[in-house]
Amino acid sequence: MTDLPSATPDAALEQVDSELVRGHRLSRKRRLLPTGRWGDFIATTASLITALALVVALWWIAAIAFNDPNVLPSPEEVADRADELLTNGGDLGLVHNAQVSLIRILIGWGGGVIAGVAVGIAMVSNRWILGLLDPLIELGRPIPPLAFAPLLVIWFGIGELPKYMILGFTTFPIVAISTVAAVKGVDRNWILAAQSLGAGRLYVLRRVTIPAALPGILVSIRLANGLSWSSLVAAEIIASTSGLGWMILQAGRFLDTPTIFVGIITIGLLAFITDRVLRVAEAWLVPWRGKGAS
Amino acid sequence: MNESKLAKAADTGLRLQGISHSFSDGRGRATDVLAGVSFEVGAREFVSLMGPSGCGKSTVLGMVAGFLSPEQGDVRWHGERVTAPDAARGVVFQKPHLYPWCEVYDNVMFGPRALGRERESRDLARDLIAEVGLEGFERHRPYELSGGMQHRVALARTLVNRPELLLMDEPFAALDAQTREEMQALLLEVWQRHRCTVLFVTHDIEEGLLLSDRILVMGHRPGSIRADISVDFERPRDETLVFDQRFVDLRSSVRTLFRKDSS
Repeated sequence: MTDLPSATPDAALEQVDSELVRGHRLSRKRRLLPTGRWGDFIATTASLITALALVVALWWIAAIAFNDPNVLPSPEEVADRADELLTNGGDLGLVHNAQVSLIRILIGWGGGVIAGVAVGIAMVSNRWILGLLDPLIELGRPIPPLAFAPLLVIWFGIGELPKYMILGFTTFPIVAISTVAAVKGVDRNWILAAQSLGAGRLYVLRRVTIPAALPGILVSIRLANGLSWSSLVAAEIIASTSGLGWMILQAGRFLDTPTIFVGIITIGLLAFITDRVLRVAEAWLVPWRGKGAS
Repeated sequence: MNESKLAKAADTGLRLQGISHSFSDGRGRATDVLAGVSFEVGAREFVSLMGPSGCGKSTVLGMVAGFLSPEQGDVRWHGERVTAPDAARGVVFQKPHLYPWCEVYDNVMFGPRALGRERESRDLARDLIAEVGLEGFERHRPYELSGGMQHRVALARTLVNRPELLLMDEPFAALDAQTREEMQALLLEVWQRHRCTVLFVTHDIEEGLLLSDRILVMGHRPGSIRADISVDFERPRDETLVFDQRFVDLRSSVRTLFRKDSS
C-alpha cells in the first residue's frame, strides 16, 4: 500500500474493500488465460497475431484509400511479389538476397560481439586499457557507421570486408560498454568467496566474473543483433550487387514499391527470428537469471 | 589469563595486535571503527566475537580473512602477516553466496578445483554433502534449494578445503528461528568432527554462548575488546543447554555488559 492511511475508519474500510475487489478482479482475469510455460507461449502468440492482423487491416484500408500501387501497394500485391521473388528470382530472388544478408550479419555482428566482449573484459582487467579505450569508444559511438562507408571503400575496396566492418562498428561499442558494466556489477562477495576458497586471479575471472556477468553481456548481444539489422541497408549501400539492403535500394530506383515492402518485411522477420533464437540461447545459457540468486 | 590460556597462546594460530581502522565517508571525513583491538585464538578453539551491530566485528573478521588490511596493527596467522585471502582461512558469509551457474556438487568442488585438488577431494565433497543432509541434491542448482539448504551447501563448500581456521560472519542471522537452531546444531556436530579453529561473529548472545569456548565482547564507536569470557560448558553440547541455570546466569551477565556499552 503506497497510500497514506486514511483519516476515518470508514474511509479506511472502503480502501481495504476496494483493494479486495481489485485483487479479486485481478485473480479472475488471470484465470482467463492458461498459466505456465504453454500459457505464456499462447499469450505471446495471441498478442502477436492480433497486432499483425491489426496492422495488415489498417494497411489494406490505407491502400484502398490511396488507390495507387506505386505509392502504397496493398498487402495482396506485396504477397504476390514476395511469392514471385521466392519462386523465380534466382540470383535476384529473395532467398539469395536474404542468405547474403544473413551471412553478412552473422560475420559482422559476430565479429563485433567477440571483439566487444574481449575488449570489455580487457578494459575492466586493466586500468590503462580502460583509461585509453573508454573515451575513444564513447567518442566514436555516436558517429553513424554509415559515415565510415566512403572511407572504408577507399581503404578496403568494394568487397565484403567494409560491409562486415560497418556491421561490426554498430555492434562493438554497445557490447564492449555493456561488458564493462556487467563485469563491474558482479557481486563483490562472490569474488571474495572465491578468493577465500583458494582461487587465483585468472580462475576468479573464468569461473566467477564471466559467468556472473554473462546475463548482462547476453542482453547487449541481443540488442546489438537488432542494431546490426537496422544498419544493414547502410552496409549494403557500398557497391553491392546483392543483399536485402541492396534489393530495397535497387527497387527504389525503379519505383518498384512492392519489392521495397517485401525487403522491409523480410528484414523485420529475420531480425525477429534471430532475436528469438538468441532468447532461447539465453534461457539455456543463463537459466538462473532473475531467480534472485545470491 | 590463566595457565591453560597461556598454553593455548603459545601454539596460537591467530594473533591480532593493536588493530585500528577508520572508514572515510568519501567527503574527507573519517570515522574510527576500530581502536586497538588485540586478541589471540588458540588452535582448535571456538571463539565468538560479539557485540552490538556497528561495532566493527565484521571488519575484524574481514581483516583476518585478508579482504582488507588494517591501517594500524597487524593480523598474524602462524606468525605470518595476513595480506590476502587464503584457502587455509575459510569464510562462511552471512548470505550463502553460492554460484547459481554451478550445481550443488560443483559449488562444493569450487575450492578443490581452484587449488588443483579435485581428485583427492571428491570423496570428501560427497561425504560433506551427506553430512549437511543434502544427499540426493548434488545435481540441483542453488536457486532450487531453500535458504537453509543453501547455507548448508555454503558450509560444506568451505569445509571441503579443510581450512585450519573457519571464519563465520553472522552466518545464521538472516535465517528464521527454527532453521537457525537447526544450523547451530549442525555446526556443533560438524565442528566436533572436524575440529578446526573457529572465529564466529554474532550479535546473538545465546548463539555465542551455545557454540563457543570463549566469547570476546566488543564495544562500539570505536570498537575494541571489552571482555574476554571463557564458556566452559562440557561438550558435546546441544540446544538443551540454554535451559541450564549456569547458562542462564552467564547470558544475563553478558547482556548486562552489552547494555552498559550501548548506553
